[in-house]
Amino acid sequence: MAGKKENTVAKADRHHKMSGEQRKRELVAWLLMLPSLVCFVFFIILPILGTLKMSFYSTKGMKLVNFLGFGNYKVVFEYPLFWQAAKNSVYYVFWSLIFGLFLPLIIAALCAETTKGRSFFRIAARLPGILPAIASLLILTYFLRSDGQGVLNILFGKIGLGPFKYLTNPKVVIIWIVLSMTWKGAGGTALLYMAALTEVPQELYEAAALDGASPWQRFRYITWPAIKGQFNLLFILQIIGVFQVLYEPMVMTNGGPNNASLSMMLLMYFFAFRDNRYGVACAMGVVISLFLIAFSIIRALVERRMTEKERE
Amino acid sequence: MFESYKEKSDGIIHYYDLKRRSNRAAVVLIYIFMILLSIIFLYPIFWLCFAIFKDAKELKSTTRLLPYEWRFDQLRRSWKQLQFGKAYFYSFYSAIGAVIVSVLFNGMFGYVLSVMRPRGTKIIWGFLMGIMLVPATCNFVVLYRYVVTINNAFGLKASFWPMILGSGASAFNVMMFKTFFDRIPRDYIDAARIDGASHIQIFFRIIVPLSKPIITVVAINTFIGEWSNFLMPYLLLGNSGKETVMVKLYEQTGQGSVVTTQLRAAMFAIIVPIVVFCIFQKQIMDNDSSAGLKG
Repeated sequence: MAGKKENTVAKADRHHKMSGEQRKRELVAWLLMLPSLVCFVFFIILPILGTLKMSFYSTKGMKLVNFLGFGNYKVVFEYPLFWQAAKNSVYYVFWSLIFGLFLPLIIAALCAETTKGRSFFRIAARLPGILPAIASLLILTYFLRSDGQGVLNILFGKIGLGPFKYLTNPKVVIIWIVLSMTWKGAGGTALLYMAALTEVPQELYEAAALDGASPWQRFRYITWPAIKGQFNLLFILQIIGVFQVLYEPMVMTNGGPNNASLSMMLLMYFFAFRDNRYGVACAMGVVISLFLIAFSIIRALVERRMTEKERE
Repeated sequence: MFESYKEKSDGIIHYYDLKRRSNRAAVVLIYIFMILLSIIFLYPIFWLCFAIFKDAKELKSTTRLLPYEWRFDQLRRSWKQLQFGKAYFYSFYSAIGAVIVSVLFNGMFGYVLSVMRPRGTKIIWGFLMGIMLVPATCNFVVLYRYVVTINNAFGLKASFWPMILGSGASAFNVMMFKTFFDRIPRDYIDAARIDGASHIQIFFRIIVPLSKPIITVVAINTFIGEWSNFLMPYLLLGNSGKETVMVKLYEQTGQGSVVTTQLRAAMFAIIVPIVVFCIFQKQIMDNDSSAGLKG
């Protein structure tokens, strides 16, 4: 890697006492990093620490009042809707894996097999992801209206199927929200897979074809192993991302009907900005973060075991 | 159409596969599937383009895609009624501010981590990667509290500094800059160093001219991201007279809102990102394709 040369020079430098010239360079370097670092501290690090601290206090408005220890956490775990929200968040993840885990890969793989029209397909897939979330969710909410005005119902009506309930039916509301999220997100992820696909050496395919392998066999034995790493990474990123869903239930259903689509993040938002219980909201935030950190750790462990297995 | 596969050099299926009937059928099915999918992806946007010209009755009753009348004047009236001109101004203001801050701050940070590499670089880099894993969304409550405290202390009412300065702390963009600068051949820089150039000279004479691609990409991402930013602006600017487009749009949802106004507001909101996408399409798609795979 090109950086290594500079690195070894810098390492050698460190064994000598730093000259004035080097000291000046170090200073300049830190000065150049300073603006961004200050922003990081203020916008990211302090809030993380502040959330942790605030979660242990009772609050009046946004002021800290009494130290409560784990009091807020008790409130969270004893709050009936917390378990509803947790269950819903699991459902969100589950359905998003069903609908949205393989779709980007399928889009990418199929696009690679088209010639004319490929850029059109790529653009079509990418476009929903470019739109601002609120706007596209508003449009989709209109599409999914359960009365005769909803565009989906109009389209179904044209082929004689009765009006359906989408976001007002507690049994399927999460599924439709997940479909909306997939509509939005599949294209961007597909492009990541497309890049991974171009890294696979063509000679492998040609050799396999000469050996009589069908396209499907080539995919299964050459393509799939090559992108498995990318797939696993996106797998865990999807779980982490969907678990934090906030905008979709907020804009499309406000957590309804009857909290059927309430997510953990939306519940935290409610604690803070609807019920004015900032301490409890912070405790909720910490709980969510712990879940996500646990997912990340699991992923790291699984990855390590898989690379160990491959070495055998 | 199968003839076009003669020039195809990527992917799995090649021209020699198309001799078999089953593979030709597979290609046809693939095209059908992709066309259907593209319709699903594009239809809502397409539909909206026509829906904004319809009035409430038309939306409720007819099933025709095209409007009966192209009501441009009603469109103009909705724009004025929602004061979208003002909303556009504020959205552009925060988006462009965010772009400038993002490119400068994250760019310098990435440059230092890649080229200058002072002591502690490795620790900072590890820290940055770690930050990307921690969910940022759980902490906006406290961030909101800090911002409000500062605003009260300085007597600021509805201000844009949190959105603009917030863009200066994007671990993702720092990473993009750093990996880009890593790919600049060290020989250019070493040769300049041997010739006695200072870091500042290197920065302006070598790095900046070469950085156009990455600056474009980060600028576009930041612009679209800030244009679409909703939560902080809503919390800070709601009902202040300085709403951005997204906040205005959200205010259209909820009880008692008129459907036609909602849809028109949605269209006004998405036009800018779509235009940006069309203009910079090549950069956006190329970037998505090549980012974040090698290291």
